Amino acid sequence: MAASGDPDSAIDIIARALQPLLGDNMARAALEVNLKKVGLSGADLSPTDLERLLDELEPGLCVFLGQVHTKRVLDGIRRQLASRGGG
Amino acid sequence: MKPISLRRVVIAFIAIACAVYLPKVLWPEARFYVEVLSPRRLQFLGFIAKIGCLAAGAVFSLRSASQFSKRDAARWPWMLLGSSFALWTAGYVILMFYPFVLDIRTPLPSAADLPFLLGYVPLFVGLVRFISVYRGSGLPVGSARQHLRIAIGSGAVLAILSYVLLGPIARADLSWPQLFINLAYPVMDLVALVPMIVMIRIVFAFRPGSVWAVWAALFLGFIGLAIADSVTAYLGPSEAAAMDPGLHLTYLLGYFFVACGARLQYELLAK
Repeated sequence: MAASGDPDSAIDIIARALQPLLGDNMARAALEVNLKKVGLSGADLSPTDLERLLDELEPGLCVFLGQVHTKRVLDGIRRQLASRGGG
Repeated sequence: MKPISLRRVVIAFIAIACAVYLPKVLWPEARFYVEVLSPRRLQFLGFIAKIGCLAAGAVFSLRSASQFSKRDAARWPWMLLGSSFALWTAGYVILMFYPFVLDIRTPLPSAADLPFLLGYVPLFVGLVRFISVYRGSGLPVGSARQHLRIAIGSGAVLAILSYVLLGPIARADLSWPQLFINLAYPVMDLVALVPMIVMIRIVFAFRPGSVWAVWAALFLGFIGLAIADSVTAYLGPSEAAAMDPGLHLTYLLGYFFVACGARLQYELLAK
């Protein structure tokens, strides 16, 4: 999945949060796979779409990070998304 | 106080280990290695360092397991890996007992071989379980067919390598128990490398993230152990094997990287 070009886009914020853990390529690939799963394209995501995307990412991340750390990571992403004003 | 970064520990450890062992390879009769760091002292320090690395590997693997909740699928494989390192730690403690408590040469086989060999059981089960758990993440880690091809291919290469490398050992003039022990370790190391190679393929797409770093360190450690166990089998139950500085350095670095992998996993979960 190509970067949106806008460093403040929701997808870039999520990708940046996942990169230290999953690496650049896997962070973006994980987003791409899960966007497809929920039937979204990555552009103009509403807060509801983003919440669905994060919910979809959770089980996969739990495998590597465990439930507690995954929740921490996803809560951090939610805070960042909220501070920039939704999707 | 600011915690010391793992990168600095790695550099310092490798530098010290090489500074201690490598000159001994080049100048084994140097006064320093006769009077100050005598073979017995070096052997003692080697035991302590290896036990320390393996114990650290066990502790960090088990602590990583405890960071996962009971519902997390990765909890069990980390527990199994930790059990394996704990058994190997026990093996080294027993091994140390012979020269430093009983003051006798370590027999072959010895009581230490029991925990060493038992340690491979949770290792194999844990590694296979890791593959299944990581594959179940739903992330694009490669297809089942690709993983199977890698397992068969690496298994075939390692089988040929075992045949070439271990053939002379199998023909050595040793008793059956000695022959069994001599062959068991390199064979099991090479067998363990097969799921390890599949794991490396799985986490390859995670470069340069933390998940990749964990498995790259573990893989380096297991490569070191496979080399060291194969060389030990070649040297056989001799004094040369017990004292060889290059061999001790390889073991030490192998265990150290294993401990680093476990530590990185713990950091990933606990930070």
